[in-house]
Amino acid sequence: MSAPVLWILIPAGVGLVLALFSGSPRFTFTFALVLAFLLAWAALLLPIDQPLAVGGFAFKLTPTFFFLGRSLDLTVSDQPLLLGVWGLVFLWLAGGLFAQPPRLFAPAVLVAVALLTAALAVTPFLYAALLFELTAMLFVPLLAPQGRGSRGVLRMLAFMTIGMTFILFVGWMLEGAAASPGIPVLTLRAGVLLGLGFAFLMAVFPFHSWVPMLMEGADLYSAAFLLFMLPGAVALFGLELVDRFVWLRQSPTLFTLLLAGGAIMVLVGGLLAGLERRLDRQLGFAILLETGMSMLAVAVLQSTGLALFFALLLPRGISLLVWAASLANLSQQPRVDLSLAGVKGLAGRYALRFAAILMAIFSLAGLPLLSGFPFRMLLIQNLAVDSPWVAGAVLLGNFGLMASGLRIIASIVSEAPRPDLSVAVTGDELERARTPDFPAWLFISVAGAGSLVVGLFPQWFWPLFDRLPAIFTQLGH
Amino acid sequence: MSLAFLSLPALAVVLVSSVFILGSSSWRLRLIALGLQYIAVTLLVSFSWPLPLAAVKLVAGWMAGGVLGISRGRSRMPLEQARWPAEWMFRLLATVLVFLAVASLVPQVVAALPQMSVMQAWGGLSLVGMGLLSLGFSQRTFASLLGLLTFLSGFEILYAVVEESTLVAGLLAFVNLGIALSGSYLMDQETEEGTA
Repeated sequence: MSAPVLWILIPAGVGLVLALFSGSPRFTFTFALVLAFLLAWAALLLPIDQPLAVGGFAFKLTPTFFFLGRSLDLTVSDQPLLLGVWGLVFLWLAGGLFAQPPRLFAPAVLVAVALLTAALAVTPFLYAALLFELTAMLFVPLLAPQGRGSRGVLRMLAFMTIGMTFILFVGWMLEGAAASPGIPVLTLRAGVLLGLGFAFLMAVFPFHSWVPMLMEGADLYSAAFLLFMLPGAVALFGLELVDRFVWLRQSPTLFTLLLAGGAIMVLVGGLLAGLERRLDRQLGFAILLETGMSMLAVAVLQSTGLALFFALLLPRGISLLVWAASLANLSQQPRVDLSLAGVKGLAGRYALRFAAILMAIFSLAGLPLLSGFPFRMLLIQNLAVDSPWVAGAVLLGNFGLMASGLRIIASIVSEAPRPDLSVAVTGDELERARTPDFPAWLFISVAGAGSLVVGLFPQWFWPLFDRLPAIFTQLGH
Repeated sequence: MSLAFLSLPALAVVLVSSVFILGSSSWRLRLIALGLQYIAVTLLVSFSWPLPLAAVKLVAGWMAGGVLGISRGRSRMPLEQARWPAEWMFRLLATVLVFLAVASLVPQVVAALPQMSVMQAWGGLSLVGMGLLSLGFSQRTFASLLGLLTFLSGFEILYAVVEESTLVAGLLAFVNLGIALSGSYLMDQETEEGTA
């Protein structure tokens, strides 16, 4: 048995089989949850490339799987990342029980995470671009159920395809530039194409328009999951390239561009979130802001190391999960329109959901005590030393995100509009209003407690973040 | 048997079909143009790849066109028509601009990649430019998908010069089909009022 078989082929195969059982969403979700838990547990306890004896049975997880002259490599240094990934997948699947995404969500998540893991594990690395494209295409039926959101989906598909072509082409150029790093024209061409490719794949300004468009029309929970996992995997792929090629690692231009690009993303994402009137589009802009924060974390890696980049992923994963699940559940409630005008006076009726959404927003904005605060503080402190203007832009962007939360509060506590008496309240609506909302209570309590724990005791989680950079041979040391 | 004598006709088909896809309002004629385009793309790719490998592009392209044709035929969406004369003139000028840009880029690309022929550079860059133009002009799913497939065809001509891997060829064919299937799903979901 090899590690890629366990963490790539098995979840992909199970996901494809579960798709045949999509008519029973409870079964597919439960099975996927159990599998995610087992894979996370295996990442924690089963060492790769070391003999293991269970009873009288001895086996070893080999790190490499060969196919058609290519290989998938997962070594022992990748195990903390696998633990983190499958742990987050478990949480997102659990959140899906509350958010009620389309029936194919659980199978698609398994296949998507397998594809993204394969993208990071494959040699030669250029196949990663193709795997990213396939992951995006896999989610199309989930993102546009019943035709909603097809504009955003189409634009996403176009930008992913364009980005894929840049990365494929530059994969060939990078080898040439590495062989001849003294030729500035070669490295400049490769650098420009690489930057454009990543800009398209990660929705970096000005190629970001599809993100809020996607959030407005598509299934919220599926879109949020894709926009959390895919840019994260692309960022890790980018770090692999920086780790592999000396001329990239030693290029001051790269880090300057990451600094500038990250600052613009945070500023644009935060300010537009603050000005946006739709709650679903606010989530899209918050995702852009988070992409910018990741870029900034990489820009300062020479002073902080890569641990901060990984540390930002945990509060992001929890907050986006809570925000998307609560918003998705809210959008399914009767007569709820996800605009600021549409949620006027709803604080009393949907207090739990709005509490969860606001907690997620303020956590991402870096409010103290919540999960986002300690790591954002560390990042801004490091930015302020060498780039005070960038630190200022980051603060402004985060204030913009916070303002979006304050606008939601102002809207939901304001006086509700007079009910339209011509539309009768149905028996279902009355029944739902009377039924205690136990799943919401459970989900939001656990998520809220988790966010507070991470915010109050970040030192408990730092050892994991400190181990993650070891997946890179140069950047991790 | 060398097919080099077909390079100029292939280029002509590529240029004419890409302009036709941008300008025509008949979805059937656009699909026929796409089909002819894939033949020309296959010929241009065959100057760098063995012909059986290049034929994968033709098969995948025609399958993608077939999928789009079936979905478009079932769709009740009205035709997307450019307004005369303003929009037609604008599209014509944009097309001329793309070809002028390609003309200025071709010598640099051929100098950077000596293994690429002038015809391949012209064909690839033209399709990339026209594909992006189609993507930018299109409001409807079908037209956007044609633009995306055109863009991808252009890229595949250029990429075939630097990469000869069978697996990459297969995966790119898979991507073409995936785009067509995704687009087919989106078109099936479209309502008569327009995209959702």
